[in-house]
Amino acid sequence: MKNIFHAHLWSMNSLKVRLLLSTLIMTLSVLPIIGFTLSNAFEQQLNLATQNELKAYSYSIFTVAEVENYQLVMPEQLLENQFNVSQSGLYAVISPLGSSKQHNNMLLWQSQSMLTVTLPEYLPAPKVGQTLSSTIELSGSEHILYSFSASFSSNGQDFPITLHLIKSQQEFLTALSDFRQKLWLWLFILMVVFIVVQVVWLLWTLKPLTRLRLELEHIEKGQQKVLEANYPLELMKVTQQFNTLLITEENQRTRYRNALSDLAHSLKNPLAVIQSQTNISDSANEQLQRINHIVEHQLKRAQSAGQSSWHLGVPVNTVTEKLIKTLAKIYQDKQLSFNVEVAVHATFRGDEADLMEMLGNLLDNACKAAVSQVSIKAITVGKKLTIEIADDGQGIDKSEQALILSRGGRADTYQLGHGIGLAIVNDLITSYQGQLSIGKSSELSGASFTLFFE
Amino acid sequence: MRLLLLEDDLALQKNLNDHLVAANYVVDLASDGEEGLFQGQEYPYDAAVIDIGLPKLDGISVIRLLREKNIDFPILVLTARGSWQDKVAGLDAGADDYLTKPFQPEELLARLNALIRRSAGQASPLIKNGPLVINTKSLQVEINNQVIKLSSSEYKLLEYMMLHLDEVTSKSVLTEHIYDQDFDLDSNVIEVFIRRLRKKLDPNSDYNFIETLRGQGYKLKRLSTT
Repeated sequence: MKNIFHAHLWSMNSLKVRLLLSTLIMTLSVLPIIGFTLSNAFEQQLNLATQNELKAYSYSIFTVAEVENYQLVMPEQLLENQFNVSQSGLYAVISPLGSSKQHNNMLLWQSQSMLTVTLPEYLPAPKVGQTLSSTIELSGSEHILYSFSASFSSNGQDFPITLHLIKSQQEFLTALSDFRQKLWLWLFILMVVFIVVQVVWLLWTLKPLTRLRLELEHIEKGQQKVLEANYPLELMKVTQQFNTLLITEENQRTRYRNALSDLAHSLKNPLAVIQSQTNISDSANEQLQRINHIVEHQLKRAQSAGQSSWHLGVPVNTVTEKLIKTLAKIYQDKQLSFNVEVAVHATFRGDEADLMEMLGNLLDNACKAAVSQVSIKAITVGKKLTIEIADDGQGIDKSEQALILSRGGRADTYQLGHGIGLAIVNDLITSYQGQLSIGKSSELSGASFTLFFE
Repeated sequence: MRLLLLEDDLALQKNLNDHLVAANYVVDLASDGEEGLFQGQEYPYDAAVIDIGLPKLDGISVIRLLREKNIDFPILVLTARGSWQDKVAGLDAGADDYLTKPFQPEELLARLNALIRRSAGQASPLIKNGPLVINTKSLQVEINNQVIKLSSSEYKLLEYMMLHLDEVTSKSVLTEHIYDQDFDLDSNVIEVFIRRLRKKLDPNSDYNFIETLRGQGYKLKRLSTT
């Protein structure tokens, strides 16, 4: 239970990691697909525009071409100036349409821009009325070749020709490259913005969960009793029910304690009446003491919250402060000096009444055994709590140490009634899966009781 | 010594009263919190024994209210619960010691005795004043190592004055501490007891322990220990 709220925040079990990962996957896969699609669409569009442009040029050339006496007559200059300027990147060639492929030395006409350019050996020859598009290499660079065949009529005879329009791809490639560069740059910016927005959104959305985790940690440490923060509607139902559970559990425990206290009260008053009678025999008195010990012991065991009260954490120093104040009053005559070294963060993960019972009994014993000094030290290392109570009395022999730890055992060095106290301490420690060790105090030379809790 | 015993269980109250009276205490009884609080505010007790579980007003509240009114006689708490939380609560409210039920009556008497002595600044049950020594545990009085026999009332008077050395105490205060609340305060019985004490403790007027201050009361003088 304890580890739930300390789960590895960066494991796949974390909602934050899951959401971040899905956001990243979505961003890194969707945005490149969009990029490729746009780039392809643009390239196709650019291709289509070039084809249309060449088609328009072909119409304008056919408009000015004439066939007279079976001879092709072309004007010296074409309307589109790029055809008239040498190596302009836009070329036109007319060849007779005969075989499927035409040799370049059979040309009927070529534009002035073609003067220093060498054509490939063979050019495509589409059927009359059809077009063909392909790419060719001219002067070491890629060019688009658009071929269109048409048939003129001269003196009643067909005169079929093919017009080849050649356009450098340089402009096309530059436009495409520019577009792609800008596209990927903007997609990258979009990706960064998208991820940042997603992370911010995620943190904002998960903030109530972080707050819930912190509040639960505080409850576990005993720093607060219920969840107090305002939670979003989706969580409110859960937090309200959790608070109800906490309050109900607390009330039930209090009710249970009170019921047991009332039971103790109603049992002990008649016992006190019998014990206060003057004519009571020693054996009856002994039996009364036994009954009293059994009642006391079993009631305290029943009242102990044990480790079930996971959400309660008690600062050790508040409990020791109260106890020392009380004991200093009770043992006023002994003028004891108390040496308290309790770390501020030392926390007992359990019920305050149980801690008070354990420390109260041990400190009370120490005060009884001490000559002038009693010390209590508490430290927390990680989740381990160690509490040591020592005195400067005559100490406890090793043979008696085991006896003290057994139920109801009582060493002669301690006054009457201490056995039950130590047995209760032992029971409580066991219920919290802790350990008790008895030894000799190196500092005060008397007995030392050390409690360990995980 | 005059005590307030605040206990709602009448059988236990009666038994404790018997033990306390037998131990020379003057005991006023109360069986609920409100009655106990009223008596605690009205009479100058030397100590009180208060049970925690009481009807009308619980023992812890009675102690807290008495302390709030600066009533400072020592208080011994009786508790059936016996948990350290209850003990801490009782002593935090202003009690001076606790006793968990059931208890041996001797334990109660020893604790009370210690509390009353402590409140008078005496650590030991033996209170000495020059040649005069009283043992508040065995109720024995000695002068120059000779045991002096005193009546119960004479002892009560002497013990009170020994715990208040060099203090002038009026007849009415002495009466209040020696007799219960039904006693007629106009009686001159204190004068009789003082005369008897002087005769028994100092027949030759060697020490003149008890001084009479006309119109004010009596004072037991502090003598140096010889």
